[in-house]
Amino acid sequence: MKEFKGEGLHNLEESKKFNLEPYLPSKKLIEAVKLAQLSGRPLLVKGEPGCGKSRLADAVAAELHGKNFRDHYFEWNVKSTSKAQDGLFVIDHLKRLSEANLGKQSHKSLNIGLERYGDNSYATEGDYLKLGVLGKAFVSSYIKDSESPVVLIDEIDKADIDFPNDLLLELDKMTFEIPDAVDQDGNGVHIKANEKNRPLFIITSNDEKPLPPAFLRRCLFHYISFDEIQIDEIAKTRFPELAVAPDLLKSALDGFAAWRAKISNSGISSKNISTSELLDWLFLIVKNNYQGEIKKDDLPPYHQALLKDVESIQLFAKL
Amino acid sequence: MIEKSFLLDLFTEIRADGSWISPGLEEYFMVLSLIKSGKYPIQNFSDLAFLLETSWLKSYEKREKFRDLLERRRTEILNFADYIQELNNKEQSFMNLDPPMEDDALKADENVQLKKNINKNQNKVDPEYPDFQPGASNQPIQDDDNSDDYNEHVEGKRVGTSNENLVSFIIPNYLRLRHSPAAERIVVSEVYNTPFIFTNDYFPVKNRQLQQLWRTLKNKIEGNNSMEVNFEGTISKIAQKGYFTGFSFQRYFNNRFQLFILLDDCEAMVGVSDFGTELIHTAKESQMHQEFKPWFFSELPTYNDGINDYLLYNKDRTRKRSIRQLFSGLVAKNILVVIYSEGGAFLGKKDEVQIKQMNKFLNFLKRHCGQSVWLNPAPRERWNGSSAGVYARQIPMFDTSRRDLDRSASTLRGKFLK
Repeated sequence: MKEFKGEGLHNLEESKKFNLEPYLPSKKLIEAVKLAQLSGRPLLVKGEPGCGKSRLADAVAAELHGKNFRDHYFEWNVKSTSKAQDGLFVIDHLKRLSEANLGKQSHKSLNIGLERYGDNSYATEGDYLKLGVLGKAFVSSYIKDSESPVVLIDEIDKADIDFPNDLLLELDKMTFEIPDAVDQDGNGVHIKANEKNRPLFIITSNDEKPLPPAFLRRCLFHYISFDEIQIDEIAKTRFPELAVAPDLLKSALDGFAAWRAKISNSGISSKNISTSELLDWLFLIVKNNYQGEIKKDDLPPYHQALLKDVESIQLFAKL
Repeated sequence: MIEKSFLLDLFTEIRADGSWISPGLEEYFMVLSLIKSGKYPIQNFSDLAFLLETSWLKSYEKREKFRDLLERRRTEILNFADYIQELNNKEQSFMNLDPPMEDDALKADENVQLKKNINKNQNKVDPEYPDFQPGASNQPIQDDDNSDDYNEHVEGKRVGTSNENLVSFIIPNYLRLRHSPAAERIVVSEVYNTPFIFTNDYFPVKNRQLQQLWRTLKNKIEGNNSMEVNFEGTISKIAQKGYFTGFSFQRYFNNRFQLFILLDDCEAMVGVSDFGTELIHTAKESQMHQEFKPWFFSELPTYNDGINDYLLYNKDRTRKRSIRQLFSGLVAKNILVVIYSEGGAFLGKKDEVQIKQMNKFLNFLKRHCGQSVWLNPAPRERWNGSSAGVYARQIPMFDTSRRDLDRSASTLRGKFLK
């Protein structure tokens, strides 16, 4: 098993090969991912919006799988209407009904089918049936000589409270059945991940809703606190132009730290500025070749990229 | 054979503390097997603490308390680490392994370099947890990179083995040094609390969170008389047969719990009445309590001597109901009552007469309903010294932060948290 070391996207050159932005995880986060790999448990990651929770999964996939990481990386962006079953499989009942009524497939059975391969894996699409994100991940764990597939379940707290509970068995045992479906031999379809190559699940949550205890128990948990983020390194890596303008970089980062502390201490805004806002802001500074001064006590230049509510802007405008 | 608790005492204490989600036996054995496998190297107390935190702690808010607990249980944790070391030594003698390599104490010049690195890294120490760092990678210590990323000078014996199934990690000498905690003290930092905000635009919790809260107060029961169309079942039936034969029906489900929200509309509550309205609004929107109505009182529900009951009013004070009337026909254990009142906390009021009367009311409630909680819009630190502090001893009282609202819902569901 190849362990995640956080070095796959550590500079612009490497990350461009994957068509991704650089990602520099903290040591604690790397250790947490390593624990998840070793224990086979999902890793639940929380943190402020914009701290890099969702990016972790593709960074892990890129490092473990290299250039073709997208064949082994599965992303599920959960919505408030998402159902757990959507992640397992989807049966196209309407198409089946339509074909039955129109008599188009009268020479063919209307069975819901999925082709099975010799090594207990299945195709990802069959007759009236498509595997969802988890189903595809389980099936891809049988690909020879490959590392564990990586699955991102993003913002799981958006969905209904029953959603995490409905996935307990699948996350635990990594198996599920598809009722009413058969393989080419007429046997039932039973999807199961390769025990020796279990997918690595990275689950993110914005903490908008509490997650059920039974679900939390099965996950490892890591909170990306802002203090562990290597802001300095991230800024230099993403913007090499700033690495050669140390004064500008220093004043930008000092300003950022001061504004962040001010917003936090004032308590007037529920949204503090985080890594993602910083990077957007630095992008504008670099793009516009900003040469002016950045003062901690003033409204930041290009504040539109940093301050996202009226209260924060008013806070600095008063100074 | 040294008797060790295998971290069982620590695990038991963590489980006994009801203020967080307890790890289960599976999580306990998972940690043990991870340590035993040797794939996650443990070089110091911090490594083990990080492993325990990642595996057993499920909430960021409880992190300080958890670390505090680990610090108090330092001896047990270190004993356990010693035991693992002893186990390794025993297994080595059985397996006739290669002799262990010489001590990996750094040479003098490397020592100087290490100290320089430590000094260089001083200002990079995590300010929140200066000595709390995750474990080093499992690279051997003889790597070219001799800088100590974790500000720790590691001396130890390498346990070598040709059997990859056995534990094989560096066991530092200072795991045995229990009298030098200074290098490994976990610093418990203060948690910054954001003050409450009460405006019309920004409530302490979102509308969706409140709805979700009310939705958790469900105890579904099939309605006796009514049926409703089961659309999913109908479509599934059509798909199976290939043609429409008829609708599929299912029983209508009621929520067995009956929710009552009693709101205090006295003058002190004027500034926070909008949140009370939001509580009512979201309870209705949650679709779990559609028949619910809010009832109001002013500082204290009016006691009606004649009927030995308490009177509540609608918002406009055009109707009144006694509590027995409201609860009549309902099963007591299914009645959930939420009181929303500042209880004298905003003004720092402590009126003994009122306290006596309110306590009488709270006892009355206890006899006539299943669970009741008090939501206090005033910050917790204002309760002591006011009537609210006294009421908090009679009825579970929570502030209106997200965490406390979740705890209040748990209490209403019958799960009591410390």
